Amino acid sequence: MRISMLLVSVPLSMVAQGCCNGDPIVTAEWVESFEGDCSTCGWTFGGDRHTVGAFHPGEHAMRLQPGASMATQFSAAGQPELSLLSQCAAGGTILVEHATRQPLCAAAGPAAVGSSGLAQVRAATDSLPADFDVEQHSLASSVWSRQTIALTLDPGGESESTQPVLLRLSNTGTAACDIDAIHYTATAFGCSGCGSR
Amino acid sequence: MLLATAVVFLPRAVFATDGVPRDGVARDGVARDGVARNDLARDDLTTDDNSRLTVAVGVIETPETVPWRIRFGPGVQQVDSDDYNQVAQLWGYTGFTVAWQGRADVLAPLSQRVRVGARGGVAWSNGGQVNEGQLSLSVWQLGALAEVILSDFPTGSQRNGSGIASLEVGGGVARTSVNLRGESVAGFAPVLWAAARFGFVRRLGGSFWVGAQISPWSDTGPNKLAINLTGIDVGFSAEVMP
Repeated sequence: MRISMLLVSVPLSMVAQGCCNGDPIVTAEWVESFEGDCSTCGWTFGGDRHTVGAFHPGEHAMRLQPGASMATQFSAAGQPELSLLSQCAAGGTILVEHATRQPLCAAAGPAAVGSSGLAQVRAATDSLPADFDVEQHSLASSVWSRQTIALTLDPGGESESTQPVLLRLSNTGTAACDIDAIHYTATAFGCSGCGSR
Repeated sequence: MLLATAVVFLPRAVFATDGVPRDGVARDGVARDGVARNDLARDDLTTDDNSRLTVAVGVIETPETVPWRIRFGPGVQQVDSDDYNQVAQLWGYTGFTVAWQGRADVLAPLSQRVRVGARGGVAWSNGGQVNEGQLSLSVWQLGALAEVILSDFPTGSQRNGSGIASLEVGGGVARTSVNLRGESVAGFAPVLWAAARFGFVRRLGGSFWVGAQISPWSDTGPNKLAINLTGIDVGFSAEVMP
């Protein structure tokens, strides 16, 4: 179940004036814990996956068998951070792909969620949108651990206007991986407008 | 209470100083050691003045002993589950550190200073709450125990009450389960314990106890993380003599 999703657009006045007040603005934040009646809402899946108990059967995680993947999309702006609670059997590896646009200043401006055919991106073999920049991280922990990834690809880039983001988690290893408690945040720091940094 | 036919060897001096005839016949006499000896028939006795021993053969009435009792009360015990807690805390749960318990013992006298009995107990521990998910540990326990009374215990005819100190040891089995969002992981674990008890007893009584318990359990879910109900426990018991 998606516990919360907060989307805050950067005020246009800030963009127009190129102001920089330094106050952090959370433009997107959500947590996925795979609990509740809609534990897979908002995700598309490919390959062999199913829900399993985490450290306890009452705490659910998504098990991705080798080759399986799960993807979601949302809008964000600013500096992103991803925290992932997971464990893999020996040989399992989670590939995290974070794809977004970093439009040039001239092209800055809000973009609609779901553009660029994001809805079709599902399986690990599906191609990411050609106009998206992509960064990848690999995780493999044999015990339950929470790992935080400081993503470097800022949605919106210098414009700090919200952009579509695609997050895909794939098991590229040879053994199963369990994923729980995905926490994503993107924070803009109130320095909007080209050349204002 | 007539329990046994016994052969008793007693120093003659004991009877002589308590007004018991030198022929060794004791009638409703109380020896110096405080134990009542009644109904010794003359024909059952032989006396040997030279050996200064009195030999009595017959049916005797055993001393009045501690009556059987029931005691019950709350306690708190330490839970050693560091590995389990370390993982549970990744989800925001606190894990298990202490468990609240309730116990009931039924005790019967084995002798003046030894009691044996059975114990039933229940314990509960709060593991924390995250997103309306309550993590809890519950334990049902059955066991047997033996208790050695170190101090005097009031007998049936001396029910004025007194302070007591005792040591107890016991063992049994625990039915243990961890519950979260309506799903449980359950299993059995052995239990061993020892405790010291201090209190006051009469027909009603109360005691404070402090002890240690060992009860390892590792069948706790997909990761088989150990929860040990092992550590110090303390509590209070009310005690009644039916």
